[in-house]
Amino acid sequence: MSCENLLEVQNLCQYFPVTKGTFKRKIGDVKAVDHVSLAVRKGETLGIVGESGCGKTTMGRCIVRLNKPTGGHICFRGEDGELQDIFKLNKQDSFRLRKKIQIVFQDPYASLNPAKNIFTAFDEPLKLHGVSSREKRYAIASGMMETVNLSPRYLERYPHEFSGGQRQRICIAKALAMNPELIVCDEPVSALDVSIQAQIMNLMRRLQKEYNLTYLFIAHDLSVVKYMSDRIAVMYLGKIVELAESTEIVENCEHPYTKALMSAVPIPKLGAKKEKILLTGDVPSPLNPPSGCRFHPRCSQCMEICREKEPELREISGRPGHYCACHLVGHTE
Amino acid sequence: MRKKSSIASRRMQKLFSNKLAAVGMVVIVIMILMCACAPLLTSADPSKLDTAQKFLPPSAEHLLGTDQLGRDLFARILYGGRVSIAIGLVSAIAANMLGVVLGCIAGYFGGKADSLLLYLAEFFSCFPQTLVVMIVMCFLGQSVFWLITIFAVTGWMGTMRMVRSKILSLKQEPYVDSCRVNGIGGMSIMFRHMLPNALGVVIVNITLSISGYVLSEAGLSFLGLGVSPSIPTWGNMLNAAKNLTYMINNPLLWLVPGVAISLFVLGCNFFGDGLRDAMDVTQ
Repeated sequence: MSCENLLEVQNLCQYFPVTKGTFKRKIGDVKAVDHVSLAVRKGETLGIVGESGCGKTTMGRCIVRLNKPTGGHICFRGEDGELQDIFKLNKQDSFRLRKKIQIVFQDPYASLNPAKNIFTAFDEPLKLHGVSSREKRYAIASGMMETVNLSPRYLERYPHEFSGGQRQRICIAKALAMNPELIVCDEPVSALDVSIQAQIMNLMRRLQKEYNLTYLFIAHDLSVVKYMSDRIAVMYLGKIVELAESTEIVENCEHPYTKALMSAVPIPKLGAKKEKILLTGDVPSPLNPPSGCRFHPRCSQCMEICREKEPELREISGRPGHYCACHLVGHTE
Repeated sequence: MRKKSSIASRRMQKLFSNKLAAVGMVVIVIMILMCACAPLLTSADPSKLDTAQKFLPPSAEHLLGTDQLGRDLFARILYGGRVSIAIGLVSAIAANMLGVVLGCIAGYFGGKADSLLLYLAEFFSCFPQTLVVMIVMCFLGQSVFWLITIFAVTGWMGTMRMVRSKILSLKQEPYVDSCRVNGIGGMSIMFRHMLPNALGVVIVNITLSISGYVLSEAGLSFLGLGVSPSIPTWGNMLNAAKNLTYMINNPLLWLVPGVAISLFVLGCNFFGDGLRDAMDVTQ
C-alpha cells in the first residue's frame, strides 16, 4: 500500500442554517461537520464511526459533492498526480471527476429507481460519461454483474424483484462500472441482516484488491468498521476525536469517547467479562455545541481546561499515526 | 420467457378485476369508438336543416328522431360527442401537462421558484372560470381552441400541487442522489428519473378531469358561453332543448344528450377510481 494521499479533507465545515418565522430570520447554524481534516491514502479503507447525527454521512455527501460545504477544502488527486480542490475545478474537469468518486448508499431498497430496470441504472451514467455504443455499455454492465456474483440476465429485471443483499450488490456493481478510484460507502451494510452483511463486506474487500479501490467506509457498527478498515476515525458531534490504525484504535484507544464506544462492542465469547463504560446524558445539539471540548458534559474525566479550551486533533507523542483530540493525552509538540 | 414489466401487468390485472372500472372503461371505449366512426353509423348530416321533418319520433331512418330544426338527433349525438370528448380529452391532457411541468419545477428547484408557483396557483384558483370564459368569448369570439386554452390555463393547479409534493418526497430518495453523483442534469433527473414515479397520480387525474371538462363544456354551452351553436356538441344540444314546451313534449331532445353526458362522465369516473386503486403501490 502506498502512502500517497488520494483524498485530503482540510478544515471541512458544513453548516445548515436554521431559520425562524415568516422572514426566514437566521437564528443559528447546525454545525453538522465542523472543521474536520483527514486524509485518505490510496488503496486503504478509512473507516468513520460515530453515533447518529455526528456528521459522518454529511461529510460523505460533501465528498461526492451532493452538498456544497460551507468552508474548507476537499482535494482529490487527479490523473496528473496533483491534489486539486474538487470544488474549484472547471466544469469539464469537475464532470470528469464525478466518475472517479462514487457512493454506495445505506438503503438498498431506495437506491435503485423502482420505475427503471437494472440496466438503465448502469446505462445512463456510462452513456453520459462517454461510452457511446450500447453494446459496449451492456458488456460493461454484464461484466460488473458477474463481478458481484449476479447473473447478467438480471439486467432486464426491476429492483423490486431483488432482495436487499442483491440490491446492495447491484449498487456496488453500479458504482464500480464507472471505474472509480474512491468509493464512499455510506453505511452500506447497516440495512442488511448479519449473514448478508458478511457477504457484502467480503465482496467489498475482494473488489478492493481486484480494482485497487480506496474506500471511505462510514458506519456506526464498530465491529463492521473494525473488520473493514485499515484506519479508523471516530467522530463526535461534527468533529474527529480520534484517528489511528484500526488495531491501535481497538487495542489502545485514548479518547474517553472512543473508550466508551469500544466497551460497547460485545465480545462473542461465553462468560467474557468486560467493564462497560456507560455514558450519561444525550448527544448535545449541534445547533448549540458545548464550549471547550464537545464531549466534556458526558466525560467522566472532565477537567477545568476541557470546559474552556477546545482540544486539537494532534498526534500522540510516541505513537506515530495515532491522533487524538483530548486534553488528557500528551501530544507531540 | 418473462414478461417485460411485471408491475404493469399486475396493475392491469388489478384494474380489470375491479368490475366497476372495467364497465366504465368499456362504456367510454364504446362511446369514443361510436363517435369516431360516426360516418359509418349514420349517413345523416348533423347540421342539415329540414324544417319539414321536425320533431319526428324515432324511426329506422332517424334512429332517435329529429329536433326542432329537423336535424337528425342520432347524427348530432355522435358528431357532437366528437367535439365534446375531444374538448374533454385535450383540455385534461393540456391542463395536466402544464401542471406536471410546473409541479416538477416547483418541487425540484424549491426556494423562490416554488413559492412563486404556489402563489400563482393560488391566484388562478380564486379566479372564476366562467368569468374568464365570458371575457375571452367577448373579445376573441367563441371557439373550441380558446375554450380548451381556458380550461388548461385555469385547471393546472391541482395537478401542480400533487406533482410538486410527490417530487418533494422523491427528491429525498437515494436513487436521485445517485443520479446527481454521476452528474446527470437536473432536467433529466426531473423528467426521466423522478416523473415516471409520479406519473401514476397524473394518469388518474387525467382520467378524472376528462369527465370534469366534458361537464364544463356542457355547462358553458348550455349557458350559450361555450362552443359556437353552429357546431354540434352535447352541451349545445342541451342548449337547444332549453325550452319548457320541448322539455315536456319532446323529452328525447334533452334526454339523449343528457344520458350521453352522464354515461360518459360516470364511465370516466369509475375507470379513474379503479385506476387510482390499481396505481396505489401501498396496497
